[in-house]
Formats: sequence, structure tokens, C-alpha cells
Amino acid sequence: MDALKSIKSGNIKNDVNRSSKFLNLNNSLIIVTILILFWIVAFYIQPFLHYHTQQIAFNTGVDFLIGFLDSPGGISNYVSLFLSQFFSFNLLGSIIIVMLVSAQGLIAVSLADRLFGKSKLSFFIFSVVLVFGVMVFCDYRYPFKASVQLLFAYVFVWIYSFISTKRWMVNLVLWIILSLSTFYVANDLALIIFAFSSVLMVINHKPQKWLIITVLMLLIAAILPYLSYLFIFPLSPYTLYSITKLTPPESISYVTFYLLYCYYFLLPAIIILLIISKEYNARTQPKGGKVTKGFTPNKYTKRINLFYASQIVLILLIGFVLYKISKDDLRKKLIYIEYHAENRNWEKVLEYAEKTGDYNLLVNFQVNRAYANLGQLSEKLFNYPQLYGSGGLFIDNTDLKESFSMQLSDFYFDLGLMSESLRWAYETQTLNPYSPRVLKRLVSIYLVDEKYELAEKFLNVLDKNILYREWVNRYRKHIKDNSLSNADPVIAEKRRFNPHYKTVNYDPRMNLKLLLLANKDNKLAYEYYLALSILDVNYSEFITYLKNYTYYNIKTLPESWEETLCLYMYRNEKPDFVTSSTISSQCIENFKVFNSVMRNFDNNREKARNALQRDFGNTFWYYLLYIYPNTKNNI
Amino acid sequence: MISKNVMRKYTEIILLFLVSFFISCNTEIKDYTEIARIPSIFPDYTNILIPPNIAPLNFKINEPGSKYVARIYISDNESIVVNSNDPNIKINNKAWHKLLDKGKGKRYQIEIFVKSDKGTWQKFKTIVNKIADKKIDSHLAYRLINTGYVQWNDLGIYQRNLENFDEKPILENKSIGYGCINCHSFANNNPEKMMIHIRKNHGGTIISKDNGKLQKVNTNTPYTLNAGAYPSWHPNGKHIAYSVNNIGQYFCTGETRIEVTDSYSDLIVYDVENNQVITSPKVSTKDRENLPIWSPDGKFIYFIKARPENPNNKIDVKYDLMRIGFDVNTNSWGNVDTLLLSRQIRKSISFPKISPDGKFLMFCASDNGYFTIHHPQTDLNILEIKSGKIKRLNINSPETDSYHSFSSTGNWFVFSSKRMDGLFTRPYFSYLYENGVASKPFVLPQEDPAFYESFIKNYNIPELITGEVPYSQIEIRDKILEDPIPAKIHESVDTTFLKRHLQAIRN
Repeated sequence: MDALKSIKSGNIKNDVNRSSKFLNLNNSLIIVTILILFWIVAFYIQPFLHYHTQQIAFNTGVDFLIGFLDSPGGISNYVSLFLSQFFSFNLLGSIIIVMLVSAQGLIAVSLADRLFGKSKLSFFIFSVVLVFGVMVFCDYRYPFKASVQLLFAYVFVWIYSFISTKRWMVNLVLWIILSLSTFYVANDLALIIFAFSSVLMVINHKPQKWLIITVLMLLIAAILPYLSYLFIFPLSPYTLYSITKLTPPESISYVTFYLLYCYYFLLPAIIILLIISKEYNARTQPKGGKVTKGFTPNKYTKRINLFYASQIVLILLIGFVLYKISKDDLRKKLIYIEYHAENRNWEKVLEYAEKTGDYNLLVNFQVNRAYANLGQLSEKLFNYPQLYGSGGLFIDNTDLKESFSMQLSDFYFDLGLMSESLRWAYETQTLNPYSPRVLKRLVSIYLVDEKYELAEKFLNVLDKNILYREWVNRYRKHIKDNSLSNADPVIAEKRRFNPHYKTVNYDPRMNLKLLLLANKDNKLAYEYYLALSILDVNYSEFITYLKNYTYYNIKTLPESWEETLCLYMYRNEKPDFVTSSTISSQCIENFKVFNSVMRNFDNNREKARNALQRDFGNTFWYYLLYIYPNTKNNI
Repeated sequence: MISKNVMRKYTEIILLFLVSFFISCNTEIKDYTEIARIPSIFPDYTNILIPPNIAPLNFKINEPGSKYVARIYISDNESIVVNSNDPNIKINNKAWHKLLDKGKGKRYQIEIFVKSDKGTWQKFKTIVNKIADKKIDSHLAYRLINTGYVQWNDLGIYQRNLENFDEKPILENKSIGYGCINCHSFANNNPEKMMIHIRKNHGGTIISKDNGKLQKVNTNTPYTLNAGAYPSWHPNGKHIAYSVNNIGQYFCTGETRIEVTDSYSDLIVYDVENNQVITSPKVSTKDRENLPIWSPDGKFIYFIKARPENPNNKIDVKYDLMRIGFDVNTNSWGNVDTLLLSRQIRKSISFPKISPDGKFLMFCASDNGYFTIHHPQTDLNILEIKSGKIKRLNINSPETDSYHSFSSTGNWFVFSSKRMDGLFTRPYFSYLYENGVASKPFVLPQEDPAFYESFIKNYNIPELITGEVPYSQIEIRDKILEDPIPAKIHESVDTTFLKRHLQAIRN
């Protein structure tokens, strides 16, 4: 109110008009900020990528809800899961994010107004909250619950600003009730924010015994989580005073970033700023409140415009800096690749793979899948550098397997090996039991396996996700009418390919052999087998299986096959099935050139490397000379 | 103050409710057609014997209809009537227990009426079950886990009050940073004498001592293969026999999706009060000794044994049933006896458990290995110890019927079965008659009859206990967060031999 008084005490007669103009300007700027940030969220951040990365799973079951009620912050977590499931719809998700962050901004503005009078900083306060609140979403592992928890903290601070009184005892009791609520609903860091903000409010108002109150408040906020840990909630000590909790697998868990701490401490920071500003104004304000000489309405307007302009510049600057430090283009491209692979948009996978630039094993794996599903794996095997050798075909043996178990499940489902697809699906389901993606996969596998009862069980679980009712209804028909599964081309194909007899899945080679033994028509398995033999430089396996290529109606050998065969024949005898037309003249010519380049460098591998990379970088011969020797070290 | 009008309105509503309840409880359906078969209900609670203290066996009627009435009675005067607009029949807990109290040793019957879509009532053939005289232990402890094999996330050990539907966590791993917790075990079904293993984060074993306090120990010593894994409490509650194992997993195509097999395993006895490990060359051989279990008199350790691992065929191994004497007063080992060879029954023997009266030894028999839960062909068998007679229990199903545990009296036992869907493990209860015949098993009752249709966790290691575990989760957590006390090797143990033994198997 002091600030408002000081403006009023400026004796500007038509200040009401002006202030309404400024308020309009203020509101207009706020609306523009919301629109800009909505555009950023919808078209740059894209909430559907959050949905995809985190496999957000909400469930309407009562048991699911009860699971959130036994620990502090559970309610926020439940609310956040409910809301963030709509991130699967990009625009709706953008609206939810912007609305939630705007709610924080508006509460911050409202608090500032209540505590310090109508402030010319409203636009800045609102925008800075909005910018921070949006920019944390640049990290696609960011848990939405952190924003929801913070919103609850804001709401409780706001409530406190209404109910706090001059009577210190009442004040303290009300505060304790609110702090307990904050803690239970939104967890310990939200409580700290609530405590800091309310302490600052007490300092600003200086009610009776304010010093005792503030000390008590800080003390309670500091020890409440610890006491609850000691005596009430069997929580892990690692979760104390942290915003987000690390859950397995650690490699894809969100790690609290300093930007998030800044975002969390914005409200106390804003209140401190306003207290300082108030103190400064009180000291610099001329006594009697008269306008300084020469202060004309025009000058006043100019000053205000300048003031707003500087706020806009500052917000833009903050936004730019936050954008720069939080954007991660590579990760975003990887997520796009993953997203398109999940949705089997293989051309898009290749398009984004090209944009990633540096080598990445996951990209390697998905590019191989994309080529294989487009029927181009054998032709373009070396278009992407196979730096991990066969590890780029089968990531089961790499460090990625734990974090990308769902991708492995998808991969084996493509190949038709249901046992491995199921194994990796269950690994994923263990980490994220209600993930719609994994539940759909489990339903599909059990339909392939003709285990309708189990398929129905997972349909029952998925049915509790409001976004997948249509999918559930479609496949529930298969349970009632089993013939529908036979008519489904994907299920029917996987049924034909899936091996049924018992054997141990020791390694990818045996798995592929098993698939080919189960059904020779499995061309995908055949191509993978030859690619595996090529990347492992296993000539005998390669030749043994290559001779069946005509079975797959292949007229001319794809590049990787003829390059391998060419080299094999150069070192060994010609296999029986090879005729004069098996290897193209172009390939033979290329091989001759390759050898002549080597000779030009006196067969010195290192010296010839650059020259060969330029013209033969995507050939088996180059792979064999320069990449294969290192693949074992890479894995 | 509430006005009189409002009070009157509330009173009217309550009276109306009571009248309608009274009417509904006494609904007599006179016009109906009789169906000459029992109705299809889920879970299958037909033709079973139940303990007199079990929670209401709520069920779902899998018959099409618009209204359902179930009359559960032991006589005309002692009945419960449940009316429902959906197929779920939920029985009042208090009324149910009153009925069971009066019906001990008697039959109880369920009459089911279903109103068809055409509006006519159908009465199915009456379901006849029986109430046993003997109670079952009041609680069941189990681990709830997802189906993953390598990774884990949320998991916990829980205790369910079998007399109602209360389930409480004994320990959830989220309180210890998501470490793996497993192999809970109790001495003589006593909830006060408990043991839990923790792996990875804060690894160790939590054991309750005689003074009622928990301690955390590391049972691994420089002379033993590993920390204790599969446990069995001595009846005195002061010793635990463990196997120490090197465990591996292999994923498969076909019905058995995973094989768990040990490259090596030995036996140890852990002295709880003195924190000492005792072992012997007799149970630390090149062969694989595993899954020890004490005889009820505490004089013998029964265990299973297989030949050393064949590197070319790690899976196809069969275990025999063995026994060795052990004197807890002198810590001395007796001689090893072979009780049952796998080739005698052409099956691998696993999870031997002896009834508290020492009369029967129940075990799992499967085609290979000892980790039976993934083998659909696993069945429960019973060996009459005195006569040596073996028989396959009459309660087995085409799916896995595996891990079992006796109640403190030995009348009841619980076992893990996948019979419901072939995938998820559920606890089933059965009564063991004196002649070694078991009653038709029934699944753990749930408040929601449709619970098992969408519950996607497994009940792992069901153990019957006589009451609630007295330790709070916070107490257990705090103990787990402490550093484990390393166990010492007992002075009588031949450490020179053990060093050589370890060296030999590790090479």
C-alpha cells in the first residue's frame, strides 16, 4: 500500500487515467508474454516430447491414488501425473504448462500487490516467473511435479498473506497449519519456499514479536522434514530437502539443475527485491510527498515507458540467457529419433539422424532399425558409421540396455522374437508399471502368443488410462473373437515368425538363427543376420547364409553384401553359388580402386586413411581396416 | 446449530436406509428357474475348506445378469444375504466372522440368484464349502514385485492380515534409496524373529536378536563363497542356516522364459547371538549344496545338492534331497545322508520344507534346477519322512505351483501358484490332512473381487506368521542405513580347507 500511497502523494490529478493506461499496458505486456511463451512451449519445447520421453502414466484406479498418499508430496505428484498425461496432445499440454506457470506468476504479482501496493514491477514479476517456469521444460526429463509442488507453495503463501494477523500467537498457529499442509501436499523444498516467503512477509509487516516468529518459522521449516523422516514417514534420507527424487534407472532420471533452484527461489527473491525497493523509496521519497520540480505528465509518461522498456529488455535478456543455458539440441534430436522410431516413421528417423552430426550409439541402433524396416539395411549398412560394430545392431550387450529396454522390446518385436521382446518389456514395466507404451506392447505380445487371458489383464490395466480407451476397446474385441488376431497383419506375421520351442537366448547370433530356423521367410531376421556377420567379420557365417539370398527374391546383391563377398573371394576361393553376375562390375571396379589407393600409400594404413575415407568411408573395406579393430574397445 | 427440520430429514434418510437394508437382507426370491450347475465365480471359491478366521471370500459372479443375490449360510438362521446390481459380491466382515465362528467344522453354502436381462431370476446349484476347526496364522508376509528380471524399482515386503483386508508394509525399498530387498524369513512363524536381506544400496542382512533388537550384519566372510542367501531359522531362533550362492540368469524362448542357476553353492550356519559363521568341508564341496532347512527338532539340516556345473549345459541339472546333522550346542556337523535322489522321481527337488510336527517334508519337483517359480511344470510333492513314501499333491495345476510355507500348527500351508493366468504368482492356501492329502486350495481373498484381474505384481515368498511384525518401517530403515557388522568365522572352522576350496572353484 505504501507504494500506492507514494504514487498518489505525487499530486498528479489525472493519475487514475494514467494508472489505468499503465495497467492496460501492463496487462497487454503480460498477455503478450503469455502468448510468446505459449508459442515457445508449443513449437519449440513441445510437451508431447516430454510425454514420449517420460512415458507419463496416469491411472484412474483407487490403488494408484492410494500409492501417492503415504508420503509428503504425493498429492502434487498425483496431480502432476493427471495433468501431464495430456502432454500427449501438444497444444493442450502447452496450455496446461503455460496456465500453471502463469498461475504462479499471477500469484506472485498478487502477493506483491498485497504486500507492497500496486507495483510498476508487475510485468517483470509475472514474466520472470513465467520465463523460468517455462525454460525448465527444455530438459525433457524434467518432472512436471516440481512445477506443481511449487504452485502449491505459491498458493499456500498467498493464503497466508490473507489470513496472517497482527496477533503473533494466532499468526504462528495459522502458519504452522499451512506449513504442515504445504509439506504434506508439496514436499520439503516447497515448504522451504513457503517458509522463506512467509518469513519475508513477516519481516515486511513487522507484527508483534516478529523476530521470535521468524526464527520459529525458519526453525520449524528446517526441522519439520527431518522430524517427519525420523518419526512419521519411512522416507529415504536421500530424498530429504531435494526437489526431485532420483528413481531408477539413474541414467535417465532427472538430475536437479541449478536453473530449477533459481526457479524455486524466485518468490523469496522477488519479495526481497520489493522490500529493498520499498526501503529505498521510503528513504529517497521527499517528505510531504510533493512532486519534484519540473515533473510534468509528459516526463512522467516517458519515465514510465522507459521503465517498462527496461523491464522488457531485462526479461528478454533473462529469457535469452536461460534459453542458451538450458537448450540441448542434440538431446532433442535424439528424442525426436526415439519418438519417430516408436511411431515407425523411419524416414523421419533417418532425417533426424542426419541432423545429429556426431556419432551416437543410440542413433546408430535406430538408424539400423530404420534402414532394416525400409528394406535398405544391407544396401546402406555403412552409411552411418558403425563404430560399435555389431553393438550398433544389438544394444543388448551395451551400457544402453538398462535405459533403453523399451527400444529393445520394440526391436525384438519387429524381428518376431517374442520371448526377448517380452523380457525387455517386463524390464521396462518394472521401472514404469503403468506406461501405456509398455502395456500396449505386452498386450500385443500376448495376442501373438495366443494368451488371451494375459492380454486381457493388461488391457484391464490400460483401460484405467483415460487416453487409451479406444485402443483398449479395439483389442478387447480380439479377446472375445480370437479370429480377429489372425486377421491382424502384424499379429499374424509375428505368430508365423515366433519360435516356440525351448532354448536359451544366449546371444543375438543364436537368436537370429533361431528365428530363421522357425521361419525362413523372416527376411528382417535374414538381413540382420548377414549384417551381424559382416560387422563381426564372420566370413564363414556370412557365406553360409548369403547363399540363400535368392530365396528372398533378391536379384542383385546389396552393397554391403557384395563388398564383403568381394573381399572374401579376394582372400579365399569362390563359393559355389557365386556366378559372374553375382557381384556387380561397379563393385569390382571400386575394390580395384580401393586397393590401388592402398598401394599408392605403400599399403600403409594410416597414411591411406584420409584418402580412403573420402571415397570409401561407407564401405565394408574401410570398416574392416579402420573401424572394426576398435569396435571391441568401444563396447 | 442444526435445525430440527434438517435433523428430521437426516433421521428419515437413516430410517429409510435401514428399512431398505432390512428388506434387502431378507429378500426371498420365489419365482426362479433352477440351473443345474454351480455358477462360474471368480476367484474359484467352490468346494473348498477354509480357516474359521479367514477374511470374507468376496467373489465375482461370471454369469450375465442385471441383478445378483448371494445367500451365504450355515443354517436357515445363520445366513448373510448380499444384493448387488453388479456381479461383485462383497461380504460384510463382521457378519462373515460371526457366521464362521458359528460354523466351525460345518459346511457353509452359497446360493446364487441372477436376474437375467429378460427379468427372470435364475438359481444356480448351491456351492458347498466347509469351515475347518483349525485356524490359520493371522498374517501373511510376502514381497510384491514386478515381473522384471534384472532391474527393479518400487518393491516392498508387506504383511496382510488374513482375518481382514489390511495390508501394511514391513519395508518398502523407497525408504532405503531403492535397494533390492528379498528373502524375508521368520523363526517358527514368529513375527518377532525376522530376517531380511538387502542388496545393492545399503546391502546386508537385518536380523532380530533374542533381546528383540534388530541388527545388521554382513554374513560374507573371507572364507565363504558369498553372503548368506536362502535362509532357514533354527527352531531355537538363535541360528540361521544359509546357502551361499553364485547365481546366474539365462533368458529362454518357450514356456520357461528364464532359468536361474548357480555356478557354485555351499552351506553355512550363522550364529545370531555371537555373530559367527560356521561351515564344514561336508557342506562346502565342489557339488552345489543349496536351500537348507532345519528339522523341527533342530538336529538336522535338510538341503538339496547337485553335481558341479557343466559349462556346456548349465541348465539341465537335477538336485537330490540330502540331510546332515548339526548340533547347535557344540557347533559340530554330523554326516551327510542322501534321502531322495532326483533320478528316483525323475525330477529335480527344490524348496524342501518340513511340517512342524516333523511328519511331512513338502518339496517342489521340476524338470531341472532349483529356481522353480519360472517352471510351469513345477509341482508340489510330499514325502512322509518316516515311511519314505512320496506322492504328488492332489492340488497341483498345469501352471507353476511352487514356494510353500507351513502355518505354525502345520495344519495349513500357503504356496505360490501361477494357476490363475500362467504369469503372476498368487498365494494359495490349503489344509493338510493327517494322511498327507491337501484340500482344494483357494487364493488370498481380496476386498475387491476383481482385484486379480488387473493386479500386475507378483506375490513372492509367502510366509505365514502368527501376528503383526512388531518393528516399524522406520526402525527397520534406520537399521538398514547403518553399516553392517561383519560376521566372524567360527574358530572351529577349517579355514585352510575353505581357502583351498574357494581357490579351486574360482579357478
